[in-house]
Amino acid sequence: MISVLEIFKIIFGIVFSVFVIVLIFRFSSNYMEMGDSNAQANIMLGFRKTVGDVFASGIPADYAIKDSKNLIIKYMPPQIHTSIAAVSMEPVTTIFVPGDRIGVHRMEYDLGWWKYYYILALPETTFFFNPLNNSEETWSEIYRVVKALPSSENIETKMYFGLGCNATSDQWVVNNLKKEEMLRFEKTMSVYLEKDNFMPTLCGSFNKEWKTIVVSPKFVETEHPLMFTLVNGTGMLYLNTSQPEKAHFYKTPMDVISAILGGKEFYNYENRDFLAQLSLASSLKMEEIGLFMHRPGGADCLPLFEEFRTTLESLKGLASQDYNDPMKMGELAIKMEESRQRFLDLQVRGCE
Amino acid sequence: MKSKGQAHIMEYFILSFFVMVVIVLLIIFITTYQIGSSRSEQSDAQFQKTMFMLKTFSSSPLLNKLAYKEGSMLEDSKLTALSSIPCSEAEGAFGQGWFAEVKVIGNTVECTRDTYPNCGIWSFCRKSGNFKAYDVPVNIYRKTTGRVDAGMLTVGYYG
Repeated sequence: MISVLEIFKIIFGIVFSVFVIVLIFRFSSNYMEMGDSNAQANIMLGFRKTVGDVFASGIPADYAIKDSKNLIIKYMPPQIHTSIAAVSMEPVTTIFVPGDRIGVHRMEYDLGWWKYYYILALPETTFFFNPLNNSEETWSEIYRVVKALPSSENIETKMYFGLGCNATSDQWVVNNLKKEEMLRFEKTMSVYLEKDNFMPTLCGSFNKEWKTIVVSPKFVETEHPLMFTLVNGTGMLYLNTSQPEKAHFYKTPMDVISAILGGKEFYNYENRDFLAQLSLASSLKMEEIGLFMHRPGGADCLPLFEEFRTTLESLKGLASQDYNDPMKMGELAIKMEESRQRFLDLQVRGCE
Repeated sequence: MKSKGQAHIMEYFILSFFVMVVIVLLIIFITTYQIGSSRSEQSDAQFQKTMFMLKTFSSSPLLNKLAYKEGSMLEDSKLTALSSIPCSEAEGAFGQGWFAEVKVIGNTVECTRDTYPNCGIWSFCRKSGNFKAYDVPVNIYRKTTGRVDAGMLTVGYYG
């Protein structure tokens, strides 16, 4: 016969054990979650540190982001939104496409008197160019964009390049090339063209994973982004040719790369940042010229300094304009080239 | 018999109470440790944010000697130009809430358009308030003489 005390012992034992087990289980699961969050936070802080190191040194690096699909919700530049918190990449302009293994590269846009640095952080990617004509402008546009993309020679996360297609064979002309090979191929392309072997045509099919750009001197409807070349390295970029009214004006290869990699959001971010930095760089250069132009013995340089300063003033004014305005940005492209030339003149005359 | 039973029950309650006390103490200890380490991580994050700015600032092409490729070499004329423009313009490129200072070791003259190039201190976006700052040694290129001076770059964030 079980006594009342024994019944109490059993019930009390069960209730107390369940209580303690639930308490320990809840606490340990919270503790583990905190540990996971810390590990994830460290991955993202490590990524930012790598970006900082690459920005400072210019030496590209690989970075592994474990389980990136679950960790990174979205990159809304300059913030990387993760499942635990947002990590800001400010003040480094970072074009980042998430992936488990990332190649981090410092890229630059050189105006001679100033360089614009930005970071490209990309997983293994193939950039495929599909020209629709044989003109020199088309080839030079492709060359400019390829040159502005990273070389993966010294890192493990590779970038590949391809070019196509040929009407006579309906095949890609080249594919899986490294950046250096692609640039060399383009430089020697003229020999190939002379033999009349290449009749550019729209490829019948593409690999969906590739970043494909169709390059054409006239508007055509394609399922891929279209670079419609204009003059002076500018043109229109149609991310979706079925909506031609949503075209983006490009004035630098960076505009094309940012839009291809991250659409309108990256295009806006890169333009805002580039124009803000261009405006600041112009102000600084004008101030700097002011420090030197009236120094004794600088009479010969004075007219050149004046001309350069006038160009910088126009550049600063244009940098504050709307980057979606093709007219203003076309002018900006011309002034950027002019500033490059004026600075070169100063250097040639020994004034800089 | 009844009082012996009650004494047994009391024993169980007291035992349970002590077990609970041990568990609660353990939880308090682990939580305190966790809060402490998350505070240290917060401070580590702040440190990393400042170091990120420090690297960006010291290697920015806006302030470095043109065509210098081996690390950073701040140029005195560019520093003077940056210290002469409004802070709001610099914030457009470097973000908000930061400040920086560059000092040539052994020089106490603040750089302005008038004192350049015989000066050695440049301040950017300096305001009053609490801040956390870190510094690193830097090279400063003197454009007028071609000399390279040793200096300290301090970068910090307010708040």
